[in-house]
Amino acid sequence: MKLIKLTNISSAVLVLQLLLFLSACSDGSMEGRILLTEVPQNGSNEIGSNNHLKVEGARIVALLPGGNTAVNLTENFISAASPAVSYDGENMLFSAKKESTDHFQIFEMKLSSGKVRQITSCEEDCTNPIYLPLGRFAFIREVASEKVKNSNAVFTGMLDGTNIQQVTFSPQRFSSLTALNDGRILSLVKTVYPEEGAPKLLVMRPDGTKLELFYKSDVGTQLCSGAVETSSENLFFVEGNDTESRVASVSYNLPLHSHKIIMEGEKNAFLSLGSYLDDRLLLSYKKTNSDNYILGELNPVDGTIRELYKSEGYNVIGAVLVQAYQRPKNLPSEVQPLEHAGLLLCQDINFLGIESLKNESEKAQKIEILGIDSTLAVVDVEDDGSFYLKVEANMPFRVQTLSADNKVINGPGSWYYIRPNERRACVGCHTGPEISPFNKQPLAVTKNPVIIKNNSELKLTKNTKDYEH
Amino acid sequence: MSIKRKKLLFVPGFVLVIGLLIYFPGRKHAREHVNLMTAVEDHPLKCASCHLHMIDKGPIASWLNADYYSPLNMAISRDGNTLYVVAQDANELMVVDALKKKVIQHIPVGKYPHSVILSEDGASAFVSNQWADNVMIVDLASASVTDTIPTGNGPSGLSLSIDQKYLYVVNTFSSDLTVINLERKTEVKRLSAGNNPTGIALSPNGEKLYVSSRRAHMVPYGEPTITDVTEFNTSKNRVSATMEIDEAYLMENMAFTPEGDLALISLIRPKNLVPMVQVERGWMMNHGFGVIEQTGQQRIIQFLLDEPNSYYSDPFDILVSNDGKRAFVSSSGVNRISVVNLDSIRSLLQNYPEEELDYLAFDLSFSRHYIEKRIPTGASPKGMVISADGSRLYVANQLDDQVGVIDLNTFENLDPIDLGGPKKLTVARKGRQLFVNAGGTFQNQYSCYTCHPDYHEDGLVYNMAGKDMGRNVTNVQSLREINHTAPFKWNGKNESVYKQDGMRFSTVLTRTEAFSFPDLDALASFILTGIKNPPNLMYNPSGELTAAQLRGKEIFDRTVDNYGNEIPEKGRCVTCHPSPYYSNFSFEDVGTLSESDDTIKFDTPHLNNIFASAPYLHDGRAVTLEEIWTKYGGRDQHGVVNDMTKMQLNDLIAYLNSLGSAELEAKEQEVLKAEIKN
Repeated sequence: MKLIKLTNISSAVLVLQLLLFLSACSDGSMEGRILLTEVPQNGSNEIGSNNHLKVEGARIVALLPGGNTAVNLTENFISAASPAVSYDGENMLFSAKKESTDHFQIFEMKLSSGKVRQITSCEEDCTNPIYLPLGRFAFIREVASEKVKNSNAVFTGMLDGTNIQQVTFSPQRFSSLTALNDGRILSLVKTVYPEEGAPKLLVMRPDGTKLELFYKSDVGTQLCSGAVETSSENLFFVEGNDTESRVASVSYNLPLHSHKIIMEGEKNAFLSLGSYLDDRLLLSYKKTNSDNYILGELNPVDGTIRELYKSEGYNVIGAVLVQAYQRPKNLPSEVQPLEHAGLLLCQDINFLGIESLKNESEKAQKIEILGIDSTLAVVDVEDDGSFYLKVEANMPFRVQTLSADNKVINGPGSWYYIRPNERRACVGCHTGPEISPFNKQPLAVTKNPVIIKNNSELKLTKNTKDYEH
Repeated sequence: MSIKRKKLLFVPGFVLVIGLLIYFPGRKHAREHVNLMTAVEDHPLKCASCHLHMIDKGPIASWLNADYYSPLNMAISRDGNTLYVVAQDANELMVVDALKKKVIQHIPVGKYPHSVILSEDGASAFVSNQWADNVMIVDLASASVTDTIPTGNGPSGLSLSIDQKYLYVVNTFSSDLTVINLERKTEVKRLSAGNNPTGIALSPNGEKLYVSSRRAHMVPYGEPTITDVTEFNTSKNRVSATMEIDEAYLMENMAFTPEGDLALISLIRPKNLVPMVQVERGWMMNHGFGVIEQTGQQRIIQFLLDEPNSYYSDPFDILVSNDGKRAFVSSSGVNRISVVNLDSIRSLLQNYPEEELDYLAFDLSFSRHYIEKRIPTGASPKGMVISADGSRLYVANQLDDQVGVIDLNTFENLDPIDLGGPKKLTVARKGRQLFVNAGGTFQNQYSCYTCHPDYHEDGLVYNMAGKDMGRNVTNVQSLREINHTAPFKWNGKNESVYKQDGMRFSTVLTRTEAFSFPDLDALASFILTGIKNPPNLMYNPSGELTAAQLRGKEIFDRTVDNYGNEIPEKGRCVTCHPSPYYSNFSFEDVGTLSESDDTIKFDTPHLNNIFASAPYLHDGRAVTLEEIWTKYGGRDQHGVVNDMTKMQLNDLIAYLNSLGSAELEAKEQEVLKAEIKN
């Protein structure tokens, strides 16, 4: 009897020990913590220039719930920044480098264990990673050339480091990527060639197709941050001018006509935003111009800020909450890498929006396709103003309209590029993203497309794939 | 080990070995089969997806499915206490206590009822039975049908003359308007009414009646899309005008403001003439409403419901508040009701010239000037009514078996009225919900239902830009009873609905995340089992062929031409179009390829209810069946017909028009015959 009792007790102790052992093995969850980048104060002259994320000594810390205690997650790096949390809340992407001479690379950390793995091995700086659905990610990589300096591009790849590919090809500078719930990528972008333009929020599919305007600030105001989308279908961002800084919002449905100022402050008072609980926002801000940036919780309904965290000697920026997020839609891709060209259709180059109805201006009869440093082609348009091009893939170009005697009617518009097999269309040259097409068959598509290519040696194979459903 | 024990072990061992022998090669074959049918390599190996949920008749089908009500349209009593709900799938008029939110009576009506209206005294309800070609008068006190009055084909929208002497019935399938004298309880006139009409609205002074069409004019591809609103003079019961609505179709419903200054139409603005290369910028479908001014210039102006990144697809009902200040539009594709500020509309009409307003109908941002609110609803909101005191808006949430209740002071939802339908969501019902919901397309721009209204086809031809832009324009095909008619598409490239609606579908058409496998299972189940052909009451009401149809059948079956020459097998109608589906499901070149088509052979289409599927041929070039041969028959490439007389061709077409549902069972035919005799 005693033996049985002893055995039972021993068994119970063993089970308890096993449970303790297993619980010790289980990883601690980081859910509810806030990840942020701390940039040393001595790097503050870089703050606001979009280079602040590359300052040596920058680090990613996890803010413990309910207190000011922060844990440095990136001790092994000389610089680390731009944390992004996976949709299951388990992992973090970030950009970092271990030595001064290294380039920034993209790393992923398992948040529960702190285990880090390097994803990219770029020969230029790779920064600003975001998660995409189904094991993919996007980031920004420097791609400046002799001709076009200071430009970069968006790349995507698998999280295991495979299938890394460039998806944007225009002479522009991308900063701060956001994965929208509709599956597209929103980015703060400014043109850098031939002259520098104002930053705009552009949106594209993750394969780089259909890059177009999402939002631009009014004249005199400049976008200063990327956007954060909340479940209320609003997007929040920081904008400013010579005298003040603002947190503003637009609605997803109607971005160009729904601008709202959430709060205003001194110049450079606000720096970046992240999503937080209950449609509130994490805001990097400073109380006075001489202070460092600190972290606050912004209630966008009443514009109040509650201070959450500050770090002596550091600016606190780019905060994100560790939690499970709704995964954006996984958009299918029409890009076929083996194709050499894509198609571009314009319904009527002479249609310039409602102004066309009021002014009887001279009609353009040709378009000139401008490459980076040369004219690629001059093409006659159809009587209805339509043109239809088969354009060498991944080649930046702009279009300007000409009269019959080659006088410029409308100067070059935005930079375009067409991805391999992309099919793209617009209503007119300056109608913007809000005008839907006229329901008429453009004359241009009753003929074969005009081929536009940069390299005369390149053979553009006929598009023979069947894309019917 | 004893022999007995050995035997005992041998049996399970044998079963195991046989099982393994079957399992592994079987699994390999199953994988290959599923890959072939779905065109993907990772669809789960669930035999039930196809081999159970595609069963469309018999006890298993009955067991899998459930009898839902599917409310479509409603009427409300003058005191606002009682709703009369047309339960389309249950062939019932449901009487609902709006205060207690309870169904109090089920009144059986005819097949596939569409609309209900009440007499002014509230004593009677009139119900249009779309698949029975009649209208029933229901005595509400006794909850019984007192009269059944034959109409044209496919009765839908209803209106009463202001003196209550006439009942106007829109006949959707025969595209006309029945005028019923209610004293004599008989049809006294039938007037032409556009193409596939449903909507009807009487002006407040009772002088003018509008009927809106759903299908556009039949025109060669490339010509503008125009759809009619027909105006009737009610004092003379005569067509007084036909208004052409440009760039619009599927004008489901109409309404007048109480003041009579505006008539409103729900509508869709298709983009079928532009190559369908993207969804962004409203490139596929726009949704909105039209306004017909009743004073001043009497312009017809269209306004969008859509926004640049959000679309309000498949507008169905349009209703005006009792004070005339607001209109409500139910968008069944996105489960929303848009609240339109009519004073803003009036102001825009007053301040903008027509040309600018016409342009603004392309501006996706313009709706910000007149849309006050978007109210969420249940699944697939359809018909709406407003209580007499103007405080409540009721909406038939068709695929929830519920009536939604909205407080019009706050535009907030109150508790809905549960009509008591089955609580289980069957696979096919889930598929139907997916079919009508635009959530499967980028930014909700269109649903399957948009191009396949009534689960059929919309009569338009699209440039899907399959191979370069401008090539291979495609006539939309009906989805009615396509089970057992694989392969699909004009070129027959899709062996299954799975392949049709799977990954490639998302890449080139919906352009958003592909349907999940369970959703695709549900969608395929609904498409293959849940879509029936209406009975062919127009050309074959009794199931017996007329003399002309019999002569036509002989021509269809003939093997010898008028000169006594044997017709080669390939030149006989019946070779490629054998019953019961009138297709041999193989490929043929019938000489109708054009320069803008790639070289393909066509999958032989099935011909059941072919009369309802104009235009014809792969690119919709034949407006009528006759044109298939008179204009596009070539040198007898599409059957030997050039020897035929005009009378013979007429007979052949009469026979083709008589073809009904392959699924229409004999018992049902008997019921139809009995109904007609009565």
